Amino acid sequence: MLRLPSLISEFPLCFSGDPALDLPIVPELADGASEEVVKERNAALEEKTRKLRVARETGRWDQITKSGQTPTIFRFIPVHGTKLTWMQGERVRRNLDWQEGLELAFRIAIKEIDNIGKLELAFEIIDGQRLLKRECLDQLYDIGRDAGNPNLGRAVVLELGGFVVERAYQGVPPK
Amino acid sequence: MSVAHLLDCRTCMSTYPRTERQRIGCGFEAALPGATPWEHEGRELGPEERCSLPRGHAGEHGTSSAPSSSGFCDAPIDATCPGYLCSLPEVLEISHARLHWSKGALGAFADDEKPSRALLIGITILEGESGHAQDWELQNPVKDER
Repeated sequence: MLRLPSLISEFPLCFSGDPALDLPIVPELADGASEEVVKERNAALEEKTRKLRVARETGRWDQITKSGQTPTIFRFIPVHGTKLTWMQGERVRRNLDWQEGLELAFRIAIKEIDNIGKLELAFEIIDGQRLLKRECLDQLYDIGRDAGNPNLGRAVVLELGGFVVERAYQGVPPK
Repeated sequence: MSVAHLLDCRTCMSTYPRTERQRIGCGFEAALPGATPWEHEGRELGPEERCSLPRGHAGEHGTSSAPSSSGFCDAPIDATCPGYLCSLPEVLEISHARLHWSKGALGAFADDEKPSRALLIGITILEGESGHAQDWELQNPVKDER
């Protein structure tokens, strides 16, 4: 269901590597690639970046979805006020590294996930804050493990956690 | 570029070629350094709307800004088309919230929950900018050319 980004309820995000998204393929560059190949690769990367930026800003992920497919949509609540203060404090109190910081942002902001299969989100209250349970996070980290891509789930959590942090500190896009 | 196009991105995109829209900072296209968004004819950007970093600073518009007599960059802070910005969901949400706020019914808009700080800041900005726009309109009435 299309629910647009909001300042009071939630904002939707998709992972940039979701196979249901209709994005240009950006090839890996081989050593000694010709100028022409580099140019083509950069153009594809720029187009992919542009499409993702517009979808994040407008919330219209349906505009870049392949026909007949449905991407996994992660719905986050905005992190501001006392939630943001607590998250900042927690990073300092527990001396979290950057990955743990992004993971915490993901846990505090995630509200719902559409089209994720059997995974059911469960939350716990820690220090008055509602956080996604670690067991659920572990299931997200397992995404791609059975398909020979053991780091896919981690990439999903860290990429989306990064956007939660960006929005918390810099406000809504565009910048 | 007519104001009607600013209010209808779809028509604008079907009317104007990509490069032309990039020149006015279309949000649907890749950013073009030095893009100049639409502005009311004769209206100059205020100092608060211009970059106050030193001229030639690193960043998106650092090397592309028009030469300035001061030591500051002076490029517009936001080079995105106002039509695109005003069609973003959060901006529309703030606009709807402001209508409720003006009637003392912001609580109803926020489903009786405490409105978020971001929403309140957005309403404050919109209210202030709306006042600026009205002032400018009064000082720069549209001339009847008949």
